[in-house]
Amino acid sequence: MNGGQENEVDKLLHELNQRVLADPKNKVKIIQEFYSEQLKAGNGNAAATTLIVRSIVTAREESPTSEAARENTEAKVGAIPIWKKPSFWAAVLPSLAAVIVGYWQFVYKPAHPDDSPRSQLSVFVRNARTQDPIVNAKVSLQTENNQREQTTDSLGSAMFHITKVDGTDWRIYSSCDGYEKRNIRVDGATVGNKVELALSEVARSSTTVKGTAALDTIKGTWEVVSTGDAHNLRIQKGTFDFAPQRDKSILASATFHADDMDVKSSGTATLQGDRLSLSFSATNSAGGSWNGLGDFTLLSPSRLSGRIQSKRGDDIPVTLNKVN
Amino acid sequence: MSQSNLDTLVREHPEYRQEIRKVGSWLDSHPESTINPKVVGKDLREIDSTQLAFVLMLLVQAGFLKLTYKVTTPSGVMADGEFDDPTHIPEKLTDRWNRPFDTTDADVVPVFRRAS
Repeated sequence: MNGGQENEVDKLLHELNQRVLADPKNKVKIIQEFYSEQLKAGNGNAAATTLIVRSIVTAREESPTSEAARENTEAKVGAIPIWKKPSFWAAVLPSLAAVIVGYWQFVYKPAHPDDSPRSQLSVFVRNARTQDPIVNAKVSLQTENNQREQTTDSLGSAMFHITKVDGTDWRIYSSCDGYEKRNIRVDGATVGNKVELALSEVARSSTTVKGTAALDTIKGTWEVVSTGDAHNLRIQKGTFDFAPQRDKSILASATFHADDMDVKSSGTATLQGDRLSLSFSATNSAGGSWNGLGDFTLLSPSRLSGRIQSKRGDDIPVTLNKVN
Repeated sequence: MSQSNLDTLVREHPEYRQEIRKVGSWLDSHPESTINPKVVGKDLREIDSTQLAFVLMLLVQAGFLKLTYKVTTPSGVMADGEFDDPTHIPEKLTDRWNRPFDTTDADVVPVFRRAS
């Protein structure tokens, strides 16, 4: 599946919505005809996917959480959605209460009433200095009755489902290699559904070496260290080689496995204090190539921690241990 | 959903890596046998609706979920009948009180069942 197939489904959805809007009293018949046509055209999967997208879009439109979500879903279902027309609401409102009562009374039957999802809590973890999202940070939510842990995604966000049993007295812990751990106490009753946590980079190690000695420290082969949840690691193995030159520039080459692809890169690095800045060109096993930047901190003479840019432009956290 | 199954799917579709992981995590925290994409869609708003549908279909194709179709009754709840193909939905069904209703202007809702 790819972007082309996604576009095809979006087109099919638009077509189906046009047909349903033109004759809303014959929804099932229209859907059946649409599905049959696509099946005959060998588009069974696309037709099924279209019906799923239609359900998701409708559900999101029925309970938008933000203006952005509303705009997004409206773009999917057409420029003038029928539910924006006053006549639609005039027809629907009288029966809406009955639908809600019917739903809760006859359909919604959670196995454990007290565990029913009540809302979501998004925790955004950012670098306190740069305000950039921190990827792969551990976020732990401790509520009145349990504790669970998530890892932040490429946007630095971790999502938790909140249920009634969680109460309102919570503590959120966050940690990531290269940053100081932090925890905050929040009142679940008033916190809303978004919490932002800024982590400070770790204080420079007193063992960090300076000047020419630092170049000697950098020189050599460094191995990627896997830390945290192995299933969420984007870079799992590989080596980086740094070769300082007479003019104090550093040639850098690396081979590693990231985002399920083999990557080779080469470029140059500069060292200022304990900060190593990398500029590289990379290719991956899928045939992709890109120019990227990296930024590392020398935590100790044998450990570097930082991040490099992936092909899609986001940061991949990397920790390196010197092997020789 | 086992982690190794999910890993295999991620390896086969690295372009949906994050979406697959999020949906897998959602499924793990929702043990219900029937999965309504409307609920998944509302919970995982950060995933584009088309991409979310693709990921759910990937799970169907990988045999983790089974796609069926249900019909909403005039009162808006889902009728008991479940169909492998929307074209198999009959013109008449019964609601939860066994009262027959005309499916013509009802709506079709895709739902997923966990593979046994």
